[in-house]
Amino acid sequence: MNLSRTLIRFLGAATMIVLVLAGCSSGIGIRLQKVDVNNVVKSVGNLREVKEPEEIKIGQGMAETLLGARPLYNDPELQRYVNEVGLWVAQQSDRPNLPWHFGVNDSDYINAFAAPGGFIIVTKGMVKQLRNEAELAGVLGHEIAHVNQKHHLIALRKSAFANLLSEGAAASSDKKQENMVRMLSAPTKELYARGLDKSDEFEADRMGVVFATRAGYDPYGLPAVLTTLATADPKDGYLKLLFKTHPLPQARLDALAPGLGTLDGIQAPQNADRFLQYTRKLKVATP
Amino acid sequence: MPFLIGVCANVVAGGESGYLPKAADLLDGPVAGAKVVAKLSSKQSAEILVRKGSWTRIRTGNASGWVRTIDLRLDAPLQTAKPAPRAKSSSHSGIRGFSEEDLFSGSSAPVAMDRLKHPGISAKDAAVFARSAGLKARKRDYFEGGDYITLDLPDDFFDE
Repeated sequence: MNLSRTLIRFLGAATMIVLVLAGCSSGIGIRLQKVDVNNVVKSVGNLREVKEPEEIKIGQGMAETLLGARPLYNDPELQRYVNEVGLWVAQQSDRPNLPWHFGVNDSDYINAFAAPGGFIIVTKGMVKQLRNEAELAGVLGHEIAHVNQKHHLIALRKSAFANLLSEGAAASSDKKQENMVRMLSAPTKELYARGLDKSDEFEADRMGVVFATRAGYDPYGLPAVLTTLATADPKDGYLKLLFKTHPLPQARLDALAPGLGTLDGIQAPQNADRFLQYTRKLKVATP
Repeated sequence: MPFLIGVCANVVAGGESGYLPKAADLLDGPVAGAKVVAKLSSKQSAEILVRKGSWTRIRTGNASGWVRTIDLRLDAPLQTAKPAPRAKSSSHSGIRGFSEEDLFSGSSAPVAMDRLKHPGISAKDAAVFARSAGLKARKRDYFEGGDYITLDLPDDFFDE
């Protein structure tokens, strides 16, 4: 897998550059940063080469890779519920007509994932930590924002696999496209293990709060989840991948704070009862 | 006014409690520079009333007010499934993981994809379901981000 090695080298080099720029190659570095001003509609336009049907096909391949690591949790009512909530929140995005699919996987780890074209997977461990539907809407909103902004697609394009992606998107036959999806398996795993740019995560937090708010939920759902995560031991193995691939919760809360200030005065439901009704089995069944 | 603001934030159900590991000011609003209601000593216990972004409203003794969430510790921190795996490995028996190792060892699962697509919910279904719980769509623009402090963990942070 030469391609895989190339990507690993590329990502390794990129990480080194980031670490050097951040001046944190040893110990814990502290930086005060300003979030980019309102870059929520950035750079989507330069992805014309990858049309929506191809994006969906690529995303499906990536989601199959995620499901290969951990299958869906066997609770059809919960899966249906998460789809009903997720699809409603996705209707508030700029891409309501994508074929959105939501699933809870059978993992005790705390995390959530998005793949291009509208595939969202939340771990059972994450759902277990949530208190109400507004928090679920916030988590799903964050992942929907990644799809809305094509963050994963852009990350793959920035990588050494850009050519592969362009070739695949231009491929005329289904077979060529399937081949391309298969070839993307290794970079997909790398991408989910390394994570997106931190700025993408901050952007997804801001947009996720807005999507959940537009859907009629209490805007503080996602911040409440981040507050919970802030209480965790960052060395907890169940959170390792989440903390490795995302900014720490307190930084995310600080970055959200001014925007949340603009949402003061909104009184909206959290739907704790409905959430607890659909998650009862999960909460009882898991340790 | 801070109490009115609190109404629309997350009202904490189930009576969560916590404490302040260090001395801190109890403020009358969820903003830096708000009036100090009381000086709280270290190890002060607190009942958590409302969460609001980076701020949490607490009651301690006869006083209530706001403290920064970062200054507060929950008595019951986030609980994960037990026994907790070592950070470096998810191969602990009985643990359904999703670690880097699981990610790389898994193979593609097209059959599971069929199950992901199975619920077959339409946008109309989702809208009906939302309305049935009193949710109403509202217009809201995107907003800007604020200052934050990042703590970059050293590369070997998760190594045991």
